[in-house]
Amino acid sequence: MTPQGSHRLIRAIIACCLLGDRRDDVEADVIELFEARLLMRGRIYAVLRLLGDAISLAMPSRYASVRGAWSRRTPLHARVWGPRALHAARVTGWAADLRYGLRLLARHPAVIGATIVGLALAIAVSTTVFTILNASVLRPFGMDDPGAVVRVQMLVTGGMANEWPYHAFAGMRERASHARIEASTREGVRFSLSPTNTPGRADSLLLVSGGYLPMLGGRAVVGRALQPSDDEPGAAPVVALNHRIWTTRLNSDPDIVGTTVWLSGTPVTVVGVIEPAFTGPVDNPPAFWAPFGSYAAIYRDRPIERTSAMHVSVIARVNAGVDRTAATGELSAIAAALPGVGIRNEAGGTEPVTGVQLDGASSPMDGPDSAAMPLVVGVILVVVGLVLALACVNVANLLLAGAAARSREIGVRLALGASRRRILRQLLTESVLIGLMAGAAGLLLSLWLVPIVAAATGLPETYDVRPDALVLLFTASIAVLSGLGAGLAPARHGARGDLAGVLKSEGSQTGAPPKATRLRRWFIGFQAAGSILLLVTAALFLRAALHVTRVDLGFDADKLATVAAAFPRGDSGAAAAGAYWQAVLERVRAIPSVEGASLALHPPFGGAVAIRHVTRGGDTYRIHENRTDARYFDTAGFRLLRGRGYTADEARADAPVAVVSESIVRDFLGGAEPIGASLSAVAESLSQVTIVGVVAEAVTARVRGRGNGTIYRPLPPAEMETAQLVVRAPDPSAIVRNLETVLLAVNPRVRPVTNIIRDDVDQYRNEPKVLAGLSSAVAGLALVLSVLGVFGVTTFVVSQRMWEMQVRRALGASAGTIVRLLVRQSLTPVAIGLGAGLVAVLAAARVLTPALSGVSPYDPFAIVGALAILVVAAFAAVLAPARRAARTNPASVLRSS
Amino acid sequence: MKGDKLGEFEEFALLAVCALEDGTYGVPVQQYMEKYTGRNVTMGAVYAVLARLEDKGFVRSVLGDATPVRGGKRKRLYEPTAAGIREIRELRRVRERLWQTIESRGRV
Repeated sequence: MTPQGSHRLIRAIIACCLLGDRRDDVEADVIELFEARLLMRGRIYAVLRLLGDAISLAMPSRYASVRGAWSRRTPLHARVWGPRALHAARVTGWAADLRYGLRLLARHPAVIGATIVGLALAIAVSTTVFTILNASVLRPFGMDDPGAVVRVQMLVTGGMANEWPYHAFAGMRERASHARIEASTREGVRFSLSPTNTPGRADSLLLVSGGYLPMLGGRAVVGRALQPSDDEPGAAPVVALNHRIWTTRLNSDPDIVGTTVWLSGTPVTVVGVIEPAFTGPVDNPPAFWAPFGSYAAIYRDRPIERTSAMHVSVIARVNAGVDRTAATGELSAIAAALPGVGIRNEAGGTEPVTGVQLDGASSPMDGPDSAAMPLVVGVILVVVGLVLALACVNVANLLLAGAAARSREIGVRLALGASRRRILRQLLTESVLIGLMAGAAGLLLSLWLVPIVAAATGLPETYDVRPDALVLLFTASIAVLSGLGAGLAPARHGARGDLAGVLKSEGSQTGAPPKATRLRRWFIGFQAAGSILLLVTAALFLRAALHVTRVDLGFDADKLATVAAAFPRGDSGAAAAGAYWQAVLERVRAIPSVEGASLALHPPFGGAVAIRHVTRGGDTYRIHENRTDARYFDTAGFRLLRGRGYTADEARADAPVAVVSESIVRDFLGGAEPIGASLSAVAESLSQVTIVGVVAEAVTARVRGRGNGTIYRPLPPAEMETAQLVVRAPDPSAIVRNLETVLLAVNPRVRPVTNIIRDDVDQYRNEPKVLAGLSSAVAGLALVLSVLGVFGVTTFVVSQRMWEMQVRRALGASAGTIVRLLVRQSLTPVAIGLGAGLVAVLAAARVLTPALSGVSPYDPFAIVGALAILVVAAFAAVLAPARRAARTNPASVLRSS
Repeated sequence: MKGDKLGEFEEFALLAVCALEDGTYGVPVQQYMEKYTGRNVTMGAVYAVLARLEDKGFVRSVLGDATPVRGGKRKRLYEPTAAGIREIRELRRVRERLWQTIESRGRV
């Protein structure tokens, strides 16, 4: 090598050392030194020492503070041990740890890769679950300052209503000073682009007061939003479009504003498209918003006025600086003073308003239906946390094995003067690094998983499931936490390393220190406990899913369609409705494929039930009540167990007769003869009505719940307006069009709303299926993780004890003995974990009862099945490494040591 | 690090800087330390310890003028500060007292 060549080499080496402004003089120094050594000790020595120098200059940690000092250009006197020097040392120290960590990953790509994959899977699942939770439950509704928006509920003695007569809303809006009051009501509408287009399926239309969109912050991306002037009498009919409708059905037509669209056959002018982020105080925004003022035109009805019978939901925004209690007080006073507002009671009178209740409407977690939400969210988060904990334990196991294997390295570093804190920090950096890499991979995986899960769970497409800042924060924190959680125990263990012992021993034959092994056993036990918990949950949901498909509903759900009719508001009465239904019934029964048709106030799965609170001996009970015509039991396929149904004459005359379901007889009459008894025997608060028949218990509201005790009474003429048509046909979906035609033929201004009961039932039946799918996926993941953990630890232990095992074999132990020994020792912690997990399952399973559709939370099939799966998997995981130990040739191992 | 106290390696480096003429630089310090300690000393270690001493205020450094000998590259020149001199004097005093005690016991 020529001198120039050496210098070039030195310059290249020095250039790699990132020396900043010291590069020139260091380079000159190194060259000078190289020349001197070359002269005195020869080329080989000079080159070797040069390499040593180069490495010493490139080592980041030992000279980190040097670099910090070098790169500073502060005056000399300021350099003396200031906070900046400290900071520089710390920052570069972390950088050094990071570099070590990466080096470690590069050294054990397979092991670390497996760890990252395991952790990434768990993080992906958690992120997916959290994303969906976030989109569906946690995220506030899309509107301005959601915290101040409230739903105004009507309070009456012993009850509450969430809709108000239109005039009550108008009264409150005029008089309230503490809050802005607006209102809305949901309607169905058929949308088309021309008067001749065949109307498609019904879309939702939200009729709103003029200030509704401005108050909630519903702004337009094209054109304008609705404003109070649109709601004035005589204003032209207008509509604002949902952004999704605009993009999917109108091809994002930029010239849409001012054009005419047809809603249920009425031409309406489009004023604008509302921005996609706006939902209002609901989770699924309507397809269209139209002012109350356009109601008359769209539905060819009388305009909404003070005297209209229309009922609306009242939404308020409490003024800034006003306490919610103060607003409640003011609105209660106003509402109580409103004339003719209230709920119709039993006696035919009106229950007056006693006040209002302001329910938060900022998110699904906030408001009247949300009492169960924290529980549901809590359970989901606990399950997710459990999966994450399992993954952490796996990584911890791996790192612990690593820490034990590295105890010699760590011992050497300690001996060379590294502080224990320094070692601890480095081990933690490594595990956080693993956590972050897994987090990144998990996030990517969840981007792909979320749409699949969202589709599988039937999440409405209006939910925005793209990860937002909250999701990213969640993922980042669980990544760091899982890294730290996984690294903490191994790091503490590693940093505690027994210096003298480690250095003295050869490190290869002694196996891990007993403490590390014990810790690993704890982990294995914990994993087994967590896995059994998740597996049993999944098995229970699976059983529930199977169960609901077989549950006897007690009536012929598959053959029924229901039709509700919205009569034109204002001009119809109960008598007109009665006549209308009579005409409809005649024509429907004439349709060839119809097997029966009748009327009921609350058809099965109709979304509404009437619950009577009855008193008996001072206690209050809930009983369902339904009003039906005489043929309802035949039409719907209720099985009559005793007595008879009521006759057509009795029904017409609203005679004092009743049919009860069998649980009423069982629970309230104590099995006494029901026929001929009076309902007052059931509960004192019920009137003197003779029981003429008993029908089988039927599940008519929720598949999950068991059947409810129900009293059936004749449908009184006064209730005809809200009655629904129940039609029985072999294939109900085939006659829907016929039914609608009939209803429109009798009165074209009536709007029919058809429903196939089988669809609703299927929806309820799908619920446990979705839960079962999700929990099976989570439990499967947990199983894989814990089997991997058991396998990893056993493999490690076996390799550590290989020498011992071969000595045993050399001393006469058979292969079978070795396998049995290893299997027994490895499975002991699993067995202990399973025991603890089972205790936890038995203690906690009752929490799941409401979601199990009647399957017992202590279902033996589920528990034994889960147990069997886990035991077999753990056994398989232990067997392979144990057999390897038994099969190895003792001579080869003993010779090598 | 050891606060403003000196470690063994730092002490050697400071002694070397004091022993060499003012305006010494990395190479002589390295050679001096290697010669008197009998250990291999890398350049990186030398720069590190000099920077640490500088941080602690025991030596100071300036960039020297360019010299034709080193291809026009400038040297970083080191000299002990008053605090540095005080420190090695103090270290010596401590050691000498200890040695006197050891010798008075007749152990050496």
